Amino acid sequence: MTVAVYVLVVLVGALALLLLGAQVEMYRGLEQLRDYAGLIDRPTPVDLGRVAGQRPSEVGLPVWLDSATRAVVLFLSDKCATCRSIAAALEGSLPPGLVIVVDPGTADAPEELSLTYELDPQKTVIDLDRRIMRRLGQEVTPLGLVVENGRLARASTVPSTRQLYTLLEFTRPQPFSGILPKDRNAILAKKEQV
Amino acid sequence: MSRCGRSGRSASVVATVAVFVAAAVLLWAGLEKVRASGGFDATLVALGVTSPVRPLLRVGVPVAEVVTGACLMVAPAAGWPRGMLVVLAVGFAGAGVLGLRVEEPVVCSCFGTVGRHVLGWRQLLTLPVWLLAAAILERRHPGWPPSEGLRNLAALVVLLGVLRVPAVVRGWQAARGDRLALMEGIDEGTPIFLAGQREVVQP
Repeated sequence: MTVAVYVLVVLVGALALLLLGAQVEMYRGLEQLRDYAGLIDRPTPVDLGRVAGQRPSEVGLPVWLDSATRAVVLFLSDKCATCRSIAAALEGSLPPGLVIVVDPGTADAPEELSLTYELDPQKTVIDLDRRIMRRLGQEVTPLGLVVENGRLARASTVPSTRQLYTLLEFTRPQPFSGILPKDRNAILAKKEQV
Repeated sequence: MSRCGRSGRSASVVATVAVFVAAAVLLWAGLEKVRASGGFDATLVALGVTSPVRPLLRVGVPVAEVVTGACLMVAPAAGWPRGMLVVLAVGFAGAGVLGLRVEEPVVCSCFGTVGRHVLGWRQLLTLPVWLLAAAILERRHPGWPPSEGLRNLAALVVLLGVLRVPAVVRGWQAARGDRLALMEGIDEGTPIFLAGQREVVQP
């Protein structure tokens, strides 16, 4: 009886192994098809070129970003479907650490996109005449620009709202691993005593 | 514990590990070749194996791998699974030599269509490892009876299935992510550009 059970487990296990292998291959085939059709939800890194490491204000972004530890600047265009879907998904409330730059393109009213989706005016910049985009040397939208310690660190495309939130994970406060000032003073005081 | 007893126990552990690893590799390789036999057939074609032999190898190699792997677990005391292990290892190395001789690199298909390793030095370098495993088992094989070997085989097959699960979950998550991203765009509507007009968003 026990032998029969083990034989059954071996056979069912081997069958499951074959089926799981087939499933892995199916997902791989699907990914190839999605890749071919351009449906892969994967951000593409964008080279910032000479502006990498510059202060955000130098390219026309808000001055307060120069002192931001971590922030994401999202460039949206009035003429891009993905930009509209991202703007709609935000539902008017911009997460902390996110600034939106709207490229109005040829829209009659430059603020149309921000008004339609009720984007927070305090954190939304209208890029009239594409001045900011031109200084950055970028054409692609939606684009996510990461500001780190007051400098332009890196950029990537933002193909969906999901990827925007993945990018925003970066702006969350990181666990502190250094020495707090009061601890530092205590250590220095101890050293002086010695 | 005497020195002889300790060394005997460690030799037994080494033999048990050798059986489990050899059986796992052979079972995985054999079952993957059974599932995706097209890839293995393409490898045989690329190596220049001609028609009368190719169908035999296409079926024979995966079956031999599975049977050898299973028998190493169930009957480790038997000599012929170890002999089969050596024959397979020499065959793999021979395929590696053929792979090095042909002009175009040949995809290995060692583990079915998973991985794109090229047939060649890798197979030659693993020959001593296979021979070492066979020598270890020849010198001291695990002394479990067939019923216990069958239990171990069942556990190994289940473990191999579990090892497959992360790849399935990763593929599912990627497909789901792409689907959600696509739905997001569809829900919002597709912009339609009409000549001389402003953009219209179709709900």
